[in-house]
Amino acid sequence: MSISKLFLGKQSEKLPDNPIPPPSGERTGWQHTLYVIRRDVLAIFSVGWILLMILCALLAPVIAPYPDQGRGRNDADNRLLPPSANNVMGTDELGRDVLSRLIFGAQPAMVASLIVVSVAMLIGVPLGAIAGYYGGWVDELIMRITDLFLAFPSLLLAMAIVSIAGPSLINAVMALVVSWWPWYTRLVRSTTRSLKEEYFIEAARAIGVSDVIIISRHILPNTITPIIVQATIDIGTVILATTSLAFLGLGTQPPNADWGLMIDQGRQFLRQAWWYSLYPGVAIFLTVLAFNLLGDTLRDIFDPRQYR
Amino acid sequence: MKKLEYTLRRLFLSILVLLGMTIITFSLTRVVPSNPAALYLGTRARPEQIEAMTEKLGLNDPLPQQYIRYLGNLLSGDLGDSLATKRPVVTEIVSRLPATGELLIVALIIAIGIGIPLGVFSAQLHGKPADIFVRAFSIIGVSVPQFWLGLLLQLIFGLALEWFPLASRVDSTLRFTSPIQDITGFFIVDTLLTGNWIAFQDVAWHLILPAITLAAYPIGLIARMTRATMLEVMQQNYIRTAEAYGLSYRLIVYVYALKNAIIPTLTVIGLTFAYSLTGAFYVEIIFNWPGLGLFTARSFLNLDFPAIMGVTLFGAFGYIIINLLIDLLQAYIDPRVSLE
Amino acid sequence: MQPLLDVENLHIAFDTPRGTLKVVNDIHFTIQKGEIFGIVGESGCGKSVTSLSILQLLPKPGKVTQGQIRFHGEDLLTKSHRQMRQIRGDRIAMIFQDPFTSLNPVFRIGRQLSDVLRQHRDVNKKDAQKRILSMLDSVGLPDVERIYNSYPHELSGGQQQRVMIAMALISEPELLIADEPTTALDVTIQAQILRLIRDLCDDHGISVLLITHDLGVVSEVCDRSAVFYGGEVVETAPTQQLLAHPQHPYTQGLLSALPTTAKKGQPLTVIEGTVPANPGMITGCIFASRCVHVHERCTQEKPPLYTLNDGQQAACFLVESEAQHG
Repeated sequence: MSISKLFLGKQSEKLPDNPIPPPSGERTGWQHTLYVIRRDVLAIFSVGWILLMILCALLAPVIAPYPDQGRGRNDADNRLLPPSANNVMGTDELGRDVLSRLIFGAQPAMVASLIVVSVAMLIGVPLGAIAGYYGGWVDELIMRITDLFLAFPSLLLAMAIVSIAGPSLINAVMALVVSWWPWYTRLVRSTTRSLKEEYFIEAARAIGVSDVIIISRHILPNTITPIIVQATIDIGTVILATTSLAFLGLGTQPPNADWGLMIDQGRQFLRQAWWYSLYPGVAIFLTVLAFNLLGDTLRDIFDPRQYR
Repeated sequence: MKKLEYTLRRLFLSILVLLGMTIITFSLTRVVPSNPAALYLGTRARPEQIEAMTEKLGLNDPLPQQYIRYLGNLLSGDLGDSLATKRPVVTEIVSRLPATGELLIVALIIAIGIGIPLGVFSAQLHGKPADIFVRAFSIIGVSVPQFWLGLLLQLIFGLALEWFPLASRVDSTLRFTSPIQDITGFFIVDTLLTGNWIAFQDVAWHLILPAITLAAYPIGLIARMTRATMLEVMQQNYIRTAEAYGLSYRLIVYVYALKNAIIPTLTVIGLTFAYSLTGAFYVEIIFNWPGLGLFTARSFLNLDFPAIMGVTLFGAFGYIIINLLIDLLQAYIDPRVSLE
Repeated sequence: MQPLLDVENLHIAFDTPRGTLKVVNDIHFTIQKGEIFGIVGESGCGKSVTSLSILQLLPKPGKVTQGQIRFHGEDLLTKSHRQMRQIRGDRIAMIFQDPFTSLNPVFRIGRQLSDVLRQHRDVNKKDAQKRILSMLDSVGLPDVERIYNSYPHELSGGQQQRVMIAMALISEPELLIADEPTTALDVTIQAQILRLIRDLCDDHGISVLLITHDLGVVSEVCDRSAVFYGGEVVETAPTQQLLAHPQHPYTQGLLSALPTTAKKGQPLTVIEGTVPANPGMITGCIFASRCVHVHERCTQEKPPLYTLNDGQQAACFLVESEAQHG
C-alpha cells in the first residue's frame, strides 16, 4: 500500500475538486505505475530507516551487541580490529565495537535534532504568525530581528555560541535552536500574510472572533503543510549540523558515542582502520537521505501540482 | 538611474544589517560569558591578571560605552590579538584568505558548471524513468556530510587508487625546485602568470579533491533549484508562444527558458556560498589546507577567543557582501526587478 | 473552391487520473481563404482547445482522438514535430488571450520578434530590424524605436497585444488564429484591436479564426461564425444571418439573453440549467437538458448538423424538415 493512500483520506476534504487534471509526463500506463512504485519504494525505505533509527535511539542498550562498549567502556586488547564475525564493523582505537557505538550514536542524532526542530518551531511559528497577521510595526520589528539572525550563516553562529558557552551536546542544541528559529518565522509569516486576505478570515473577524482564536484555529492549521515539509527536511539538516559540530569537538563529548565524533576520532587511523570513519558516515548519510526523501514525498502528497 | 537608486538602497540596508551583526557579536563577547576577561585571557590566567584585563578592556564601563568602543575598534580594523599566535587577528585572517578563497572559488565554479546543466538536463527528463536517477543524485549531494565525503574521497582516490594527493596545497619539495611566486596568493593564478607549469599541475592536482568535496552539497542544491525553476518556467505562457511560433527546441530551452530560470537560482547560489564558507572549515581540516578554516578550527580547539570572534564576524560580513552582490546581479539581469 | 482550413470529425479528449474526459465531440467547420471566421461559445465549450489542436499545441494530458484538420488539403494532425515547426509562425500564426504573459519578460520586444522572423526567413539582423520596425508601425504602435528596445512589462496591455499581432503577421501567414484576443483588454481598446485585425487581414488576404465568448465581437468583425456548446458545433452561419435568424435554441437563448434597450425594465431572460459536466457521456442532443423545445427524441438521438438554404447549419431536429426540403 502506498504511503500516499495513508494521507489521502484527510487531504481529500481540503483539496478543491480540480477539473483540470495535473499535467503529468508523457507516460504509458505501465511507465506511470513503475514511477509511482519507485517513488513509494523510496518512501518505504525512508520511513523504514527512520523507524529503525528511532528504535536504535530508544532501545540502544537492548539492540547493541556490546552495550557497555557503546556507552564507552574500553577493551584494550581488541584495538582497531577489522570487521569480523565478532565485530561486524570492526573496533575503534579503544577496542570498542563500532556497531554498538553506531547504535548508541543514534541517540544524540535523533534526540538532539528532534529537540532543535521542535523548539525552533515553538519559537518561530507563533512569531511568524503574529508578524504576518498584525503587520505594521509588530511585523517590522519581528522581521528585522529575524533577518538579522538569518543573515548569519547558521552553522557559524552556532559554532561561535558553543565555543563561548563551552563544548557540549546541550550547548550545541541550544546554539542550533538560536540559528534555526528564524527560518520558521519567515516561512509562517509569508503563508500567514497570504491567508490573511482570504474571505473566511474576514468573515471570522466580522463575527467578532478574537485574534488569538483566529490565529490558532484558522490560520495556523492551514500553514501546517509547508511547516511539516520543512521540519522533516530540517531534522535531517540538523543531524548534519550536530554531527558536524561534534566532528569539530564542539558537540557531544567523549566517551559518549556520536557519529560525527567517531568520524573525527577515526580520521587519524584512516590508513589502517578505514571502517572506523566509514560506517558512521554511512549512518549519517542514510539518515539524512531518509529525511530528505520523506520531506520530498510529503511535499508531493500535500501539493501534487508542484513539479518538485 | 533607477538601478543606481536600487544599488544605493541595498547598500544602505546591508550596512544596517552589518551594524546589527556587530551588536550580536558584541553581546556574545560581553553579555553571554560570565567573565569576559577570563575568557579573553585563556584558561591559565591568574586572578590579578583577570582584574587587570577587566580594567584594561573597560569591562566595568556601562554597556553602551563598551559597544561604542567595540565599534570603534572594528572600524579601525582592530579585532584583537590571537591568543595562540600573539599576532593581530586581522593579520591572521587576511594572510590566509587567498588559500581559502581559491578553494571556494574553484568549488563554486565546479558547482555551477555541473549543477546548472544537471538541473536543466534533469528537468528535460521529467516524468521519464531516468528522472529518478538524476533526482537521486542531487538528493545525495545534499544528504552527504561534507567532512565524511572528504575522507571517503581521500580513501578512494588518494589511498586506494593514488590518483590525487591527500593534503596541502602544494608539494613541499616544489619550494626548492619550482618555487611559486607570490603575486596574488592564488596559486593557480600565480603559476599561470609566471608560466610555472610544473607547479601549476601540482597545485591543480592538490585542488581537485578538496574542491569536489566542497562542491558536492552546492551541486545538489543548485541542480534541484534549477530543475524546479526550469519545470515551472516551461509551463509559462511565453514558452507556449515560443513553441507556437516554431522556434527551435534548443533556443526555447537553453535561452528563453533558462534565462528566466537562472534568476531565482542565483539566490540559491548565494545560499550555497554561505554554506560553503562553513563547509570550507571541514574540508580544510581534512585536507590540511592552510586556510582560514584550519585556523578557525584550531582556534576553537585552543579556545582562542579573540580569534573565534574575529572569524565569526568576518565570516558573517563576507556572507552579507556576497548576498548583496548576488542581489545586485539579479537586479541587473532581471529587467523587472530594478524598477520596484 | 478548396477551403483553406477544413476541420472534420474532430474529437479531443483529456486523459485524467479519474478517467478520460471528452472535451470536443465530432466537430466540423471550414474556413475559406480571406474570410474571418468566428467561434463563439461560453467557457469550457471546447473552443480554445480546438484552436490549440490546429497547431498541435494541446497541453500534455489532452489528445486528438479522431479526426482531421486539413490545411490546403494536407492533414496537419499527421505531421511530425519538425514539419509543424515550419508551419507555426510562418503559414499559421496564433495570438493568445493574455498578451502580458505571452511575451518573455526578460528579453526585449525587438529580440523576440527578430527570433521569430529569422526562424522562418533568411534575413540578416539589419534587414530583420527594418522589417520589424515597419511591422510595429503597421500595427499602430507609436515611437517604434523605443518599443523595439523595450521590455514587455514596460508596455500597456493594448500595446502588448499589438506587439503579438505584429509577431503573428511578420512572416505573412495565411491563417491567423486569435484566441480571445481582446478579453483581457479594456473595452475601449477592444474595438481598436478588432478593427486592426480586420483591416490588416483584409489588406493582406489573411484568413482569421477568431475565438470569443462575446457575441458583440463576432458581429463586429466575423464574416461567418460557428456556435459551440458542450464540445459540439450547434450552429454555423454567416454572422449577420446568425444574429438575425438563429435556428438553434441555444443561439436563440444567447441572443435573447442580451440586454438591449428595448427590454428595459423587464427581467433578464436566462437559459435555465448549467453546462453538462461530462458532455462526452451524453447521448442525444447536447443541449437537450436546457432546451425549451425539447422532445423525447432529443434525449435519445443526436441531431446532425443539418444544412439549410444559403449555408446556414444547425444541429437541431426542429430544422430537420426545412433542411430536407430546402
